[in-house]
Amino acid sequence: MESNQNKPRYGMVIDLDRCNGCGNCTLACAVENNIPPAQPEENERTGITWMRVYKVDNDKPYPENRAVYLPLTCHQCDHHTPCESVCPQKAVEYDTETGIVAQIPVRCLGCRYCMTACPYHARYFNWWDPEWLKGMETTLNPDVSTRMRGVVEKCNFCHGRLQAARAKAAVEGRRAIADSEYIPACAESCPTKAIYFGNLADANSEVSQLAKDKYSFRLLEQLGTEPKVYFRSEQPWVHQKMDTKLSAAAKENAHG
Amino acid sequence: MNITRREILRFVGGSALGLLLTPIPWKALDDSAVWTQNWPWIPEPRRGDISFKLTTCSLCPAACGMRVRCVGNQPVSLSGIQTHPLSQGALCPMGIVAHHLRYHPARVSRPLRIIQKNGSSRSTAMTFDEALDDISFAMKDARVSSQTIAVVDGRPGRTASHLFRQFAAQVPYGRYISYSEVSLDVLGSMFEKPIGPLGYDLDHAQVIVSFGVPLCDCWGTPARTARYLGKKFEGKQKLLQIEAYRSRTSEMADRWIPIRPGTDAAFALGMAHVILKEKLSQAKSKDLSEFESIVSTFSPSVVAEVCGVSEDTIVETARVFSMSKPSVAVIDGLTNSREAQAAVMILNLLVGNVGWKGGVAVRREVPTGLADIKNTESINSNMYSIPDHSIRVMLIDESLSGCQLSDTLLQKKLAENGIVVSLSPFVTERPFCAQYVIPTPVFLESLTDLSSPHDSESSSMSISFPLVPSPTGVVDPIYFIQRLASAAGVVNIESGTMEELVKRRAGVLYGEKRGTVFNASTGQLSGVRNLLSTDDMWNALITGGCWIDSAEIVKSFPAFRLSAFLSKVDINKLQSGKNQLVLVPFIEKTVYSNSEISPLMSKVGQESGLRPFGCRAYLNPTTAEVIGIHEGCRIVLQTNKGSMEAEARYDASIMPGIVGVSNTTHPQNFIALCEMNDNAAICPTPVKIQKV
Amino acid sequence: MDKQYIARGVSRMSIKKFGLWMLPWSIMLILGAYAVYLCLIKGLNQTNMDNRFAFGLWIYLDLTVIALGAGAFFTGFLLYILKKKELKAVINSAVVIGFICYSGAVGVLMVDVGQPLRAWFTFWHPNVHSMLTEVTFCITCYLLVLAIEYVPVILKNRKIKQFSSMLVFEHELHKLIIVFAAVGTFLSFFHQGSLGGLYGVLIGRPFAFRPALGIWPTTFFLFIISAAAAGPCFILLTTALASKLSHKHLVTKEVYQMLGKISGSILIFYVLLKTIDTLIWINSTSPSLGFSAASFYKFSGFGTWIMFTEIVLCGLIPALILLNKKMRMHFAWLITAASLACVGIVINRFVMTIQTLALPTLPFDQFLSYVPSWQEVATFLAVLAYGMLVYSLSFRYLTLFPQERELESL
Repeated sequence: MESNQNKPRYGMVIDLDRCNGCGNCTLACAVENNIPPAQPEENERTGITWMRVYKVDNDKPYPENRAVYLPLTCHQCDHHTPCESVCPQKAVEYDTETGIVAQIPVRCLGCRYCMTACPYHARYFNWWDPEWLKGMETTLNPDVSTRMRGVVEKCNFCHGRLQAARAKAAVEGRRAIADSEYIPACAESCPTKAIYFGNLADANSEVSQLAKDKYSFRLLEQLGTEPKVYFRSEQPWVHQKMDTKLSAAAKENAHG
Repeated sequence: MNITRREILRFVGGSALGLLLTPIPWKALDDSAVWTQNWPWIPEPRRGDISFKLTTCSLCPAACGMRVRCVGNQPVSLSGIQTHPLSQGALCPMGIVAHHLRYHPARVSRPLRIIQKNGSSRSTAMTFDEALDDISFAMKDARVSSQTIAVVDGRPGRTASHLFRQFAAQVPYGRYISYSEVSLDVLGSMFEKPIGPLGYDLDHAQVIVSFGVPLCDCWGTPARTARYLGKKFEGKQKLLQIEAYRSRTSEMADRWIPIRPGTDAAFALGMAHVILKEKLSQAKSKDLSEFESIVSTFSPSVVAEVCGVSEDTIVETARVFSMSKPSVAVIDGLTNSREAQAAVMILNLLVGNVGWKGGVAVRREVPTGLADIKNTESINSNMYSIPDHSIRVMLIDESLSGCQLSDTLLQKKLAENGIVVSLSPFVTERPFCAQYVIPTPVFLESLTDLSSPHDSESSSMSISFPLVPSPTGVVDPIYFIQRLASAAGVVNIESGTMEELVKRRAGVLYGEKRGTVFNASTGQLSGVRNLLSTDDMWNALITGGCWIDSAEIVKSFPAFRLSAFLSKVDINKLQSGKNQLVLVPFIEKTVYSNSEISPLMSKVGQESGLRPFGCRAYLNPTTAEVIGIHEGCRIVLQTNKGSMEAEARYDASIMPGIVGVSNTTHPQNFIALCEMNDNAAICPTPVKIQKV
Repeated sequence: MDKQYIARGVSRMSIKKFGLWMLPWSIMLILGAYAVYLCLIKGLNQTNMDNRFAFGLWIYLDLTVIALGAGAFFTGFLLYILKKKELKAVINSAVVIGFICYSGAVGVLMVDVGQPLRAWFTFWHPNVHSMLTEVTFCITCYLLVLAIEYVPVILKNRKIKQFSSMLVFEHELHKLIIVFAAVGTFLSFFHQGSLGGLYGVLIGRPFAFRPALGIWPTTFFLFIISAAAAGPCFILLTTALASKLSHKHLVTKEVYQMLGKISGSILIFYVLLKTIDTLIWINSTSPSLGFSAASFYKFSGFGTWIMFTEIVLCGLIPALILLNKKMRMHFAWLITAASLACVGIVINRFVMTIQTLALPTLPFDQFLSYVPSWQEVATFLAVLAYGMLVYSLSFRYLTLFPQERELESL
């Protein structure tokens, strides 16, 4: 993990033992980021859900079947960001100031190469033009631009909120923003406080400490994408299913 | 002059090169890039000053504090109030997108007259006065033929509720029917005298035995999950979830006890059997011996067979429930028979937790500040005590969602010539169609007071304060009932606007000098005694705050009867078909409660499959394979009441032999399929499956 | 009726019969044009692609036709650089086929992207790390080269030849042909390779990911070599088909033999490299990413038989047949082997595009399926129809096969 003392590296730790799969995060994200409601023919594979909750089970039959709910968003890969390196026209940009992987919808050609590159399936394509109910377009968030069909979009850790926090700090004459001033919509809306968000580069932050916890792991650790979203569970079957041995080894290597 | 081909070619070539040196092609490229940034018909967000306002959500009795982000005066997003003592910053999925409800296509802006003929309905707009004329005419007719006029109130405890009761008290054959948490109503009616409003004090219980109640899925306050988890991880609270399929609550619970659907009553009586046998109860009741003889047939071995669990499970659960104090048992109202509800409430009576911390909370009525109503006994009813087909005019207040009106039950009580007047913001497709729809405002458009959530220790009161104007043509329920009263010649109805009356209520609460007030703007909790004036109270309540009563100390209780609802209970009837396929409803409670939802809910429905949507039938893979159904294929569900098409889905968390059906779309088709028991609760229904 | 446009010394079917031949292809083209219209106006929801299958039939089609159309560059390379004079007999046909394949691919690509009006952004904001930038640059340049190579063939039409200025232009152009051939080879080398690199760099898709040789994944080189192997086979097949349909001898046996032999030798080389690459992938690359190679093949319908078919049945076997002189002389065996080789390439591209996306990456993913919508199939068929129309017109009015005239007189 590229840790820089001066520049934050925003990341998340999601506690799978706390998530009850309510869907607040998915909805709060859609409200914040002006994601349109579904067209009648839209389904699980063509819908746009920057934050999406999956039900992951232990593949056992009833009644041993157990499940956790797993909120999945863009993992803001820190190393050789797969989507960034493949975009033919640099419509994806890893922001070195924050570690957030930004998507530039006005430059996107809609070739969808980044979508094939992403192993976390975090990217979504506008198969339709966005449509809102009459009057509902007055509830759009002015901090986030609307997109048109034919472009790819994904979670950017509510970058609009980061900008707003910075603007507020600037007005008050501060350079740095406080931790509590910047929180993405999903983390804010979670009623069970399953989503922790913060600066992974700050060793004292809650997120950073949880990430080092022995129960935390990352998905597809072995691909080497260095995702900045961690998951946490104390249930052994979850670790088995997610093949977390490599995560444990990586943690040992990094932190002794 | 001879212009050669070469010269032309030269000119053309030279011009082309020269053009490249002008800004024209570059500007054209640049412009085209800008033109392709967005189509002109894609909406752009409006700009304006950003502000945060505070109010309370009115979608359900949980009354969560809400922080509303506004652009100019327009609410654009909703979040919780972190310091709110009851909701603790949590909202439910419906609440997060509640600000879209104003734009729902089913919204009504003028009173409607709806005529149903041959399965299709036609609606005509009418003026408010015309509607009042029609309704008061029907009321006169009811008087003449001695038929009941009933007001059905799914959210009792409001100022509007009081006016409804005033109205019902003065109308001949008037009835006021409140429809709240049904299991608590059942418990209340086991006592010889009314004991006051009840709630579940889940915060202080050490053991919660829940019969299918989605405690961790936005039942009661959405913050319940976080509160339970906090206690669970510290070993301070145990949740035993008893239900047929592995719901979200079952996943989070300390223990999940799978029982066959429809056998809750048997399990509860089995527990009662153990409690009595092992002398774990000190309850004194007039009909204890009668109860004992009923329960004697529910021995653990018999119940184990019926429910599909082991004997040890029943015994252990009974022991844990009665030996760890305080403990409380809860059961879902909509899908369980009165017997089942009674059986579970009996458990609470047996351990004597009624009126105690961590048990069933006995609360005080929250004063309304309005004139007392005489003879309330005669008008207060619940749906079961009203004779079938007796209601001539049924006024249903559906202006607030979050209550579970059983359409089938309402249909049953309506007279042949009965009319239904629905106070609602929306006109929705339901089998039980209202003849008149009076448009009311939605959340954020009107002021209303809200009473207590079901899962807190004390009574509370909050106010949902409007942030946007309501459209012309909509009326709030108080205005409607006042106008109807004067049209029908009913004299003593409180006059005054909603705001005036609710403000009066706040003043009365201030005058009582008890309880605490939470002020969301300051984040402070203060005793009512310490407030300086009524204005403090009012200002706190209208900005997302709440008033919480101090806990009631109950000194004595009237007597209760344990076997009140069990006269017809028969162990043989309590089993659902063992060797048949059984249809069981997944009723997503608060999330899809009796109302419209924002179209953005598609994110958790059709766009992610996180929650059931559409007509989907969930089957255990082994069951599906036995029948020969593969995932995604279309099937027809056939019961002896009807049939319905659905899409089959595999779900390993469902008990084999069950078909779980979601009720999110076409609920009328689905409900029509199910068998109902005596009190119109949906029973597990034998079903046959065929491929389309 | 249009005899004046048809080259001297060769005969063509009557214009009425020709019209009848062109009719079904025209209809197919119109249907495809309607499908394209729907996709451009209503959006890509007209296809059955989705967020998991972001690439579908069209990308698969693009990769396949470009691989098969590689015959154009490779034949040019063999003729103009390696001076294999016999291939003069098929170079024109190869160029036309190449042109058809590439222009069809570019056309489909314009429908496939969400914002075709922004296609030029790749040239304005190129990303040096992206294989797709490389593909875009090279394909557009190569299409230009092919167009330029096509022009002389058109200019040599009997009627057009009569304009002396055209003749002069064509002559001048021909002097430069070797330059274009070299440029074409270079560009083609790179984009064939980068199409392979497109999937080989995907660290997020362990099924497709391959280790790098220099800055390119091994699939880069494997795609080039397989295209070089398939190209001549495809030229062979198309020539044989044209021959059959027109009931004429278009080229001498030696040309077929040469094409077959070259293809065979490259193919065997390819099979060797592919086998080594696959073994390394099974034993090292895939496990190091946390996925056992076997885990990719446990889904019903997608077993290891695919790998076997691609490498052995449609790789090794045709290579051996083509290298065996006796079998090669036998026309039926020659055609069979060439067909198998092309099928092998088609399977390879399918495995890389469709199978890669069907396979799960996250531990809780499902194996997915995808069936193209009629709009996608119609567009695909439109490319085929377009190819048939252009080739038929070229065959009728242009000299695609210089040997035809002398063979006809025999």
